[in-house]
This record gives sequence, C-alpha cells and structure tokens, in this order.
Amino acid sequence: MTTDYNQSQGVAINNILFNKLFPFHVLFDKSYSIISSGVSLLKVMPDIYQKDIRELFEVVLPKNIELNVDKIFDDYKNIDFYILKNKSSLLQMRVIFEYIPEDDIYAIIGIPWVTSAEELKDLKLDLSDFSSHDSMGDMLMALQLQKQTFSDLQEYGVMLDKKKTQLEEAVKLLDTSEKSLQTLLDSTCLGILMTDLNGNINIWNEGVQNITGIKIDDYDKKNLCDLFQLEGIYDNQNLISGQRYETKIINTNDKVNENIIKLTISPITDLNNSVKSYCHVFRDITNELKLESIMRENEKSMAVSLLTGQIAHQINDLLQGIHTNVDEAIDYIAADLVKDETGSIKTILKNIDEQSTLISKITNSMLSFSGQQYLSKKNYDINELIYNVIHQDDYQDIDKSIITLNLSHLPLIMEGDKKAFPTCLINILKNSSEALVNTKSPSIKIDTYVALEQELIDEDIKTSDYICIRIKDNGKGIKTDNLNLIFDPFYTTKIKTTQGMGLSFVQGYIRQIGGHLRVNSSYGLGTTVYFYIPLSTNINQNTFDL
Amino acid sequence: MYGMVNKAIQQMVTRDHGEDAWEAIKNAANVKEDLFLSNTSYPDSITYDLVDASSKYLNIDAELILIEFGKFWVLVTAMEGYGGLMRAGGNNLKEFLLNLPNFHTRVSMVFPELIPPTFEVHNIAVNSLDLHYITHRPGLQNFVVGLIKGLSTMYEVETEITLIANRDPDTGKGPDVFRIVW
Ligand code: HEM
Repeated sequence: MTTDYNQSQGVAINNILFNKLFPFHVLFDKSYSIISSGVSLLKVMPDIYQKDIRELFEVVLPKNIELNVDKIFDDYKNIDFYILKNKSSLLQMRVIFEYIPEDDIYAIIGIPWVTSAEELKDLKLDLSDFSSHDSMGDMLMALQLQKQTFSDLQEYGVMLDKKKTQLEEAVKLLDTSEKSLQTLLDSTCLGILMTDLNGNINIWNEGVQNITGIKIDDYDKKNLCDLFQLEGIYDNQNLISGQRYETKIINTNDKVNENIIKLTISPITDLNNSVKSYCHVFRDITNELKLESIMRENEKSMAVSLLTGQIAHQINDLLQGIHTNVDEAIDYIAADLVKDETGSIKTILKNIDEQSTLISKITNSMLSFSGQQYLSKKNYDINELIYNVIHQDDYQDIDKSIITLNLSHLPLIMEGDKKAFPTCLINILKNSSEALVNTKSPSIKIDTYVALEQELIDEDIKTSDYICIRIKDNGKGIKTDNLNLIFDPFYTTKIKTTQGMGLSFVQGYIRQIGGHLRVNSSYGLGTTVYFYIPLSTNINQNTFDL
Repeated sequence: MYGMVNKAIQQMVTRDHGEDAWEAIKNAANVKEDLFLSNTSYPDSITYDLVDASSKYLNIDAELILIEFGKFWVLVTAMEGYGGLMRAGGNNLKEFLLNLPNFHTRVSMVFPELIPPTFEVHNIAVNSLDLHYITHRPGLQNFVVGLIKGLSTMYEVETEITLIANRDPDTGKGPDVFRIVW
C-alpha cells in the first residue's frame, strides 16, 4: 500500500500530543544518540538520555538483523516491524523505525511486547501507561480470556475423565449385577420371562420351563399371548396405567400334571415413567391351593361338630322329657289308672322307650364327635385297655390273629373314659380290617410308647408328655386326595357303612381329652394311625379304675 | 450473563463452604451444567437461581450474599484475572469511579455478547460522589454495594455507601443512586 503523504495537509504535532500518542517512543540522531523518549518508557528505563541506542537495544526478531539505520531503510525496507530487546532488562519492544526529515532524526515508535498482565506488572507498568487508542489492553484481556478458556477446557477434560471412570465402574457393576441376576434367575423356582410391549419374548429362565412344561427353545422370538392363549392381555387397564396385574392360568401343556399357575405381569418403566417392557413371573400354586382347601375343610368340620353338639344337647333334653313321660305313663298303666285291655298301649310305650334310648345313643355319639360329651374321667393304663380289646371276644368282625402287639413295658397312664378309648381303637381296627380285605398277608401292628420329642415338634404339640399309640396296617391305603376327607363325618368310601361317624367320632374324643390324631397313608402300601394322648398328671391319686 | 459470573459464585461458595455445599446448591437450583465456561453466555435465570439456592442452603440473606459476591468479584475474580485492567481503572477510588462509565466498554471488546450495566457519576465533590446505576436487571443493587466495598478495600479507603434514590418501582426505569462518601 502506498500513500502519497505529500498530497495530504500536514499537521505539526507538538511534543505533548506526540508523547500522549506514543508514550513508549524513542528519538535518536544520526550518531545513534538518544534525544528524547516517551514518559512511559522512562518509567522502565529512566537514564537513557544521550545514550547510544545500540548499546541499550538489540534486534531479536527477525533474526540476524543489525541495528543499523542505513540497512534498516535500505536493505531491510520490506521488514514490517522489529522486536527490540533491552540488553539490561526483560523489556522487549514491538517497534517500527521512522525517519523525520524535518529534524533529520530517527524515531522508534512502538510499545512493550508482553503476552500477559503479569509480564506488564513485572515491568512495573499498567494499562494506563499505554495510549488510549492502543488496543494493548484489549489484547491482554483477550489473552487472559484465552487462558481462562484453556483452563476451563482443562477442567472440562478432568471432569470428562472422571465421568469416564465413573461410567467404566458403572459398566463393570452392571456386568457383575447382570451375572448375579442370571444366577438368581437360574436358581429361583419362579419362572421369570420378559417381553416387549407386544408380548414378544426376549429373556426367560429355566423356571418357566419347569412350571409350564414348555421347552426352552420354544420361546425365542415367540409371542407370550400365543404360547399361553392370553390374547388381549396387554389391553388390561392396570397394565396400561403402569400397575401390575395378576391372573391365574390352568396350564394343560403338561399332559400328565395339569397345574394352576399364578401369573404376575409387572410393567417395567424407563426414567421417564413410560412402560418399555413387561416382566412376567410364573408361580405354580397348585399345592398352595390344595393346602388352602384342606384348611377350609378343617374349619368346616369344626363348625359342623359345634353345630352337631348343639343339636344333640337339645335332642337330649327333649328325650329326657319323653323318658319321664313314658315312665309316668307306664306307672299309670301299672296302677290300673288307665285301662289297657289289649296291652297295646304298653307295647307302644315300650317301643317309644326303646327308640328313644336308641336316639339317646346316637346323640351321645354325636356329642362325642363334637367333643362335648361329658365323659367320666379316670386313670387307665393304655396297655391294659388295648390288651383287653384284643383278647375279649366282643369284637367279632375283627380278625385278631393278624394283630401283633408291641406294648410298652411301662404302664402308660391316660386320663379318660373307660369305654371311649376302646371304642376309638375298635373304630380304627375296623377300618384297617376293611382296608385289608384283598391284601395277601394282612397284618396290623400296634405299638405303644412315650412319644418322642421330635414327633411332637413335628405335630406342633410339645407342651407336655404324650403317649403314642401307633396302629399300622399293610392294607390298600388311602388316596392322597381323600386323606383330608376321612375326618369328615359324612364321608365314606364304603357303600354301606356300619360305622356311621367313624373317624370323626375318634377325632372328636381324642381332641376332647387334649390329644391328637394323625393319619399317614400311602395308596397301595398301607395306613398308619397315630394317637397322641396326654400322659395323666395325677397318677398318684387313687383314680384308677380297671 | 457470561459464565465467569456463575463461575465466580461457584468459587466463592466452594472457598467458604466446600464442594459439597456447591453441589447441593447446584442441585437445588436445578442447574444441569457440570461446569460453567467463562467465555460462554448463559441465561440470567441461572445466576439468579444460584443466588437464591445459596441463600436458602446456607441460610444467609440473599442481600448479604450479593454484597459478599460484589467484594469477591472485585478482589478475587477481577484482580486475579484482570488485574491490569483493574489497575488501569485509576490510581485511587475516586479516579476508578470516575472511569467506571468506560469500564464495561472495554470489557465488551472481548465479551461481544455482554449486556453491561450503565454507570454515571454526578455531584462530584472532594470526598464524595453520586453513582447512578442503570440496568434492566432487577435486584442487583446489593451487588453494586459489594463491588464498591471491594473497591474500597482494594484502594484501602473507608467508605460509606447510601442508596439515596431508587429506580421507578413500576417500570424499572431510571437509576438507582448511591451516595459514596470516603
Ligand atoms: C475486570 C473487571 C470486570 C469484568 C471482566 C466484568 C465483567 C462483567 C460481566 C461479564 C458481567 C455480566 C454481564 C453479562 O454477561 O451480560 C458484568 C456485570 C456487572 N458488572 Fe462487571 N465486570 C468487571 C468489573 C466490574 C466493576 C469494577 C463493577 C462496578 C463497580 C462492575 C459492575 C457490574 C454490575 C453491577 C454488573 C451486573 C449487571 C447488571 O446490573 O446489569 N463490574 N460484569
């Protein structure tokens, strides 16, 4: 760029203005002797007046340049600017050289060259030492900002590093938790299966196969709804609103054992609470349901026994009335107060008396079943009672030759009614005999002993000592399904029963004396009945009755 | 406001109350940024939320926090980062305050998105002057008080600062006037 300065109108600049514009300038003459300098430069280099400029400064940039005005204005005239360095201090100046023909002198115009506010401070300078038009301040600020930005970035880097480590750790954790999840999935007896929103299966464990009976290879990419005939299950309002949903499936896939499965579907949501997949938990509840029904049966039989007791009491009261009336009627006839010429009234009354005695027996056994009969309480040795039953001729319908006794050598004293326990025993023996009808070498074994502690713990009765009477046959046994029904007063497997209330009477009585009855049976192998009866606590009193 | 402002708040809180306090405050203010970049412009609301959350978390009045922040800004942020610029602002408090109207102009040279406040000086006397502070931003009067207190410390003079006139409460227009006596 060339400007024809001769064409423009010159302005004479006074010293003060020149100084204000160029506070770091130096003027020197042809002999390199300094004539004057700017105020700000004087702050850094106070004694430069009349010194040789070449002794104070050297050119550091460009390289290998001599501080020689002839060369500067001739050979080096294409060089834009120079960096001069003060030989005795840190000061470096960014300058240009000018010739002032009016005074035949040279001028160095420039500013200290610094790249940070700190360097400026080292020179004991600040921004106010620069001319206002000079953008040194802006440059320093820009540089400061650059530094700041750089340190921000470093901070950013450190943070990213930290995040990266955290992420790596999280991934590791995820890895291990995935493994432990897998172990968990493998070890649980629950069936766990994940699907997408449309029921397409993507994860499952072996439990699903165990419970449903459907082979593992069948699952991949298959749809749950098709496998279990659950069309439209995902339209369920609970699931749509993100809540879990439970249903029961009767599973017929396993042809041998039909089972009942409880299926719980839980929606899995992401961080934004929108449902992303479904988790299905399969639980085989067949046994649970069975247990539940047993419990219900038990409760039912308790209720029935209570009701039976109440009815029996009322009938008994009425019978009492009938008896008294019949007795009185007979007395009247006997005293000839009433004519009974044919004797038919007497016969009718006798019939009434006999039938009411029969009813009385039935109500008694009803009361026994309900555990409410006021039976007499005396001490008996169980061994003796059993021995008597087996060796008396009374009970003809029991084949006593197949019975083996293994009675305890110690007397086992129970407190109760003289007849009730033998009745119970005979009840059981009758049942056994019937179960033994088609057995090749039938046998019934009767043991007595003081119940073992573990037995009692198993039976959940451990407050005191018990006698155990075990009656074991090798008959046809009872089907598992029927086992919980045998105490039902109206249950029977026999078409025609002689026994009426059978086992429920036995249970009623045993309960009444604080005992416990257990029946173990394997279908085809035989049945074992256990009586647990409390050992009498007042043996020393003279209450024996044999 | 530029990130350097939020960054300065962060520095002050961590210096006085520790890293955990800062994280808690940032969470309470619902600030998602992991860190602030000095040279990037952020919404003013972030700065206001940070001051609010600091006040609640540290149980210190927001006014007091702004005053402390003003001092911190002059004595730590400005002096450490832009010492040359600050020193160039004047040889004494009065000179600095007289130059203040130009101050952010210079800052704007390198922060092109700066929306700086405007300062005017009136009623200049030997040891007092009225500083008019004009801005569209609400509620930062105590920040100015803190800044002047910081400058007083920097120039080692005792000052008394009184807010003698407020901007129009309805329109928010007009200056807040501080009388500064030293
Ligand atoms: C080197 C020193 C300084 C720098 C780099 C600086 C920079 C800034 C920046 C970046 C902002 C935020 C505005 C935006 O980003 O749009 C700001 C605001 C502000 N500055 Fe400074 N500043 C400096 C010194 C000062 C001093 C000494 C004072 C006053 C005494 C001052 C008074 C203010 C005030 C009051 C605000 C709040 C904005 C408003 O009221 O609208 N600053 N400054």
